[in-house]
Amino acid sequence: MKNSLGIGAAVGVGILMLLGTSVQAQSSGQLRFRFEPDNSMQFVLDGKYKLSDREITLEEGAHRFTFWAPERLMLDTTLTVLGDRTQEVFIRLRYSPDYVDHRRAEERFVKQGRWGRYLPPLVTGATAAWATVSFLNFGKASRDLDDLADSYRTSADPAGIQRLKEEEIPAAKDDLRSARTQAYVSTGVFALSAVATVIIRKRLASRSAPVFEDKERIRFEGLVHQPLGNGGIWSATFSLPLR
Amino acid sequence: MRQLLLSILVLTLFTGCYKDEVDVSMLNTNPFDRDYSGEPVFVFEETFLQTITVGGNNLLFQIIVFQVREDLFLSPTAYTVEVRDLQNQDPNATVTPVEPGSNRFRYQRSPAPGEEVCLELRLSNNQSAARAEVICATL
Repeated sequence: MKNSLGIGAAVGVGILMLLGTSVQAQSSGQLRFRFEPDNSMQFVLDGKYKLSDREITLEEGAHRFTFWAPERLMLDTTLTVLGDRTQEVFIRLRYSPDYVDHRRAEERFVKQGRWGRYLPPLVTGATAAWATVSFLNFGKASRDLDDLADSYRTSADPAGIQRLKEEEIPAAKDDLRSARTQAYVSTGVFALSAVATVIIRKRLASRSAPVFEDKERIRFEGLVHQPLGNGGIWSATFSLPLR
Repeated sequence: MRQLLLSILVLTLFTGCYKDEVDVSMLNTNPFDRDYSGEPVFVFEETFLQTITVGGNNLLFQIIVFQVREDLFLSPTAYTVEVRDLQNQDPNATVTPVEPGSNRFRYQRSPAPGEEVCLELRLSNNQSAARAEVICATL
């Protein structure tokens, strides 16, 4: 025998309707739950009793259920219990938007940490290499100019001296100026990237990982009755952020 | 951080070690430079008449002897001397030293008694000549 349960308001909730197999008293029926997530699902029955049972026997008729699991969006719905039936109900809860946001923030945190750990030193290393090469080029340009100046002193070739003064030395001076500018720029970039690396490292060290505050849990753990062996307890929960 | 600052400091100090500029306008101390502005390189020594036998004929020549001041050279080097006789407008001639390795040179020309003879002299190497200087001699 098949019975169906409609849960119109539940977005993202799948309800599997299967056979009822056992027979109960005339005025009561049984619900057998399958949950996703399976281990941590809890529910509040008729706004009073907080339970985590997988099977529950209830009086025939409509009952209000509020399902919740950590990190999941709470589902508030009504299930109709049919007499003398065991109905299987599959409840799947979506992740709460807060938790999705938290996961994104966490991923961002991890990604930033990873980039912050490796990228700045890499950039600093690259700029250090650039600065070193620039200074080596600067030194070479300086030596080339010195060599040409020495050539002037040792040359006895009038045309060669003329060429030296009109072409080679001016070109070497241009090279030296260019190499010096590049050396200064690369040193500046190296210094900036080094300082940026230190600042980023310090900021990374001082930042704290995002903390997930499960607001759905606070809503769920509102005023409910938890049945115990001898009666039960009424409990109320409130949350006090410490950050 | 300290190492970083130290490396930047060292790099910056290196910059100061390198020569800044070479002023081309100040490069005028090499006698082989056409822009040479130092003391005269050629010094007139003497002029006289000399009879030289050419093809069995005795010919009279005016000899002009001058010196090259090798002490002005920035480094020891070989060279030749080009001469242009300003009186007879002959093409440039290359003269040889009085003795091999000597800094004394002699130029011979047709005699011009009582007349001032001026020579334009240049140091030369690799078929290019340096600044011209003029010396004059009168028999």
